[in-house]
Amino acid sequence: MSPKSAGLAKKMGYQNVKVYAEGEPVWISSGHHTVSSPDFVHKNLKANTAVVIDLRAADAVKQGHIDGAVAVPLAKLEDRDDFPAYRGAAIVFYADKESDVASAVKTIRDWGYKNVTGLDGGLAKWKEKGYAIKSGDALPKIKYTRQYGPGEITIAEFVEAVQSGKAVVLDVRSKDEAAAGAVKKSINIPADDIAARYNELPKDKLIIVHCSTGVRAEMAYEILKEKGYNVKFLKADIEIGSDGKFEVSG
Amino acid sequence: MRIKRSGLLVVFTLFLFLAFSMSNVFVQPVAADEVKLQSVKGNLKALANKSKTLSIAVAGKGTMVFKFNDQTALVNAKSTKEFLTEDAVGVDYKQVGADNVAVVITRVVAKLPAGVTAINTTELAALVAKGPDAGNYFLVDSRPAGKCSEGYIPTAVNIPVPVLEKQGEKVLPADKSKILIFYCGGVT
Repeated sequence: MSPKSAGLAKKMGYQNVKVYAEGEPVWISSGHHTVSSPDFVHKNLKANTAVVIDLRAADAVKQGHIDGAVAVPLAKLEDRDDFPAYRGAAIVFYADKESDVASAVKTIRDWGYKNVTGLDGGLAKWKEKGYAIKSGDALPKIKYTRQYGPGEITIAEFVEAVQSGKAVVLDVRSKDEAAAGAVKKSINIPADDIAARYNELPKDKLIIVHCSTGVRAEMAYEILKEKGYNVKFLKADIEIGSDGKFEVSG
Repeated sequence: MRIKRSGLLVVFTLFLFLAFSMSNVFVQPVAADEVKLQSVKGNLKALANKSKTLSIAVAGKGTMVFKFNDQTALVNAKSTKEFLTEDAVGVDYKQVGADNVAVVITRVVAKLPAGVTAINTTELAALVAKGPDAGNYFLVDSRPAGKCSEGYIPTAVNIPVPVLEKQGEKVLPADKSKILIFYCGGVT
């Protein structure tokens, strides 16, 4: 996309045209932060699909903050234990200083969150857009509702499926990983064997795929879906004990 | 004894050879080397080093899953760990049994139009820290509006390619000597 736009600009007579070919993904992986538009934040805040954190001091928050934001001064960020379990949750910061936003983003990313941004233009642009400002206390607790993508199963659905035995639980971790502890009655077919061994699975039952993080499970899901299976997958971290007891987070 | 032993060895070798060639004949009717390479291009969806598999979104085909191994050649990358989600990649692969096995994975690198130069992360970060006025730049995010609004480089203005094609100079600065920087979600 960007080289094409740059070519157009060059033709229009711009003399100093550059392309940042690495783009947004490398900007982020190099430790810099990006900002979300007020429109995007407003829409997702209303639906509880984004968490907005006001990093300013308590008296500034009292005078006026984004309606729906949670106030967490930068110094207290590490003490919070109510951030969403899902590491793909959208988390948006605003502050007086952009450097505060940058360090908050860094902290939360270190905890494994992948979609952490600043609010473009901060409170000023938010007001300009005409979005709601509230005075007094901000929300005490972080509220977040995860939105699930195609084929993804909720943690609750996964637990229910394992307990009821109505679905086939497919473990696509390696043989060694499965030997160290597997979910009750699960079938182990390592992700790299699925394409060759999928016909071991029943076609008339719902198949629920898991691995340890959801990455391999999603790939197995893609293969099984293409083969016409009724399949869903767990996109979450799961730890399984040698007794089959498991804990899902994210 | 010596003769007997080597005779045994011959029989054993013959047996191995037969078993091996039979397995080739019956289990894998086509030798891997004879399979023609196929090529696809798309954006990386996921790459798991644990199971040595990767999946890419291929336009018109949906998601395709590939296996890779130590023999898989990488172009424009030293290790599979360098690949990022959404990276434009080309995969040359062959079908081995039920699997698509990647023979070459190429990270697609942008070709810049004539007269356009590249800017790297450090240079761009230095400009962004100064701001558009002091840095005398205009930063453009060329991605579609929906994707861009989720997160963009601070101070960037969103001008999707179709908008630039339609509106032209109207959406760009009047000063044609200003540093004009375009970026998107990596090479596409």
